[in-house]
Amino acid sequence: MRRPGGYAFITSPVPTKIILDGMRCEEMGEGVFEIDTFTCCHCNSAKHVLAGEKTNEEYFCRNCMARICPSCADFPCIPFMKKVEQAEERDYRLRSYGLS
Amino acid sequence: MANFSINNSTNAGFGGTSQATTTTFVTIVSVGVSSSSATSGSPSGGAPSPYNPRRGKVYDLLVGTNGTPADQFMTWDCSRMSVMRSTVTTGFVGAISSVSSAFALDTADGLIQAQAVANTSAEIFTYTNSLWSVGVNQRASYRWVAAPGSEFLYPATSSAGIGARVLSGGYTGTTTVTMLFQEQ
Repeated sequence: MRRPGGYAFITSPVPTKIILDGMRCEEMGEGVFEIDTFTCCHCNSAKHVLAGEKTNEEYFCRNCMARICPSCADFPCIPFMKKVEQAEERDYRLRSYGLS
Repeated sequence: MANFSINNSTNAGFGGTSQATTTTFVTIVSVGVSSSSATSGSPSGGAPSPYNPRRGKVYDLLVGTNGTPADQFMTWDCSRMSVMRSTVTTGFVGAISSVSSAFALDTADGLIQAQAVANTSAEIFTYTNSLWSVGVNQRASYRWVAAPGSEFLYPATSSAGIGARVLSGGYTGTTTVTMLFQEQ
């Protein structure tokens, strides 16, 4: 995939099956199985993308202009970094009040 | 920004022993922000005072098994946790916490602020959502490396963290996890 958000490889001495992202089964031969990943910009989870698999059309946030995971596809755009900053702001205030 | 590496190897200074894999998830390595009330008590000296939470990013994850090779199915999972616990004196073994310089990739980077737990003997964490999940043969090993900007991020808030865990229906041996992360 173009500009992947990560890279994974599985090394197995025997042909085996792998379950990616808890929802799909792939087969791999013995040796090294290489696969790209992307990280969802809404929930920060990593998803595997097989070679030649298209991701932009189905799961893509037009606000963030970044890939999102299938689980986030039906929800409004709240970038993960925004969630993080809100959580940190809240925690900072609670600590300043001695409540955390 | 300092980079750190933690794993559950017993010679890494954690003191705990690797836990057996079971049919329910067992946390192998976790890293996150302790609560601000964290105090001393850890083998490595306890949390610094005042405790300044730092945002962290997990950018590299390596998992595998070190038991007798066999064909068993393993489910690996890396999840976000909402309860990291505050201290290492709450009844579980294998916690290392803060102010340790033993885990920096560059020794000049200094001390780790996060609380890391390896080989915990009690499943005390509370997980929220899964960030990464993969099922592989016991004989296989897996490595994931994030591109810059695509890391697993935990906020600098109390009890936020990320843990790597495993379950298996047949394998009961021990596993190995190495987690590389960065503190902001």
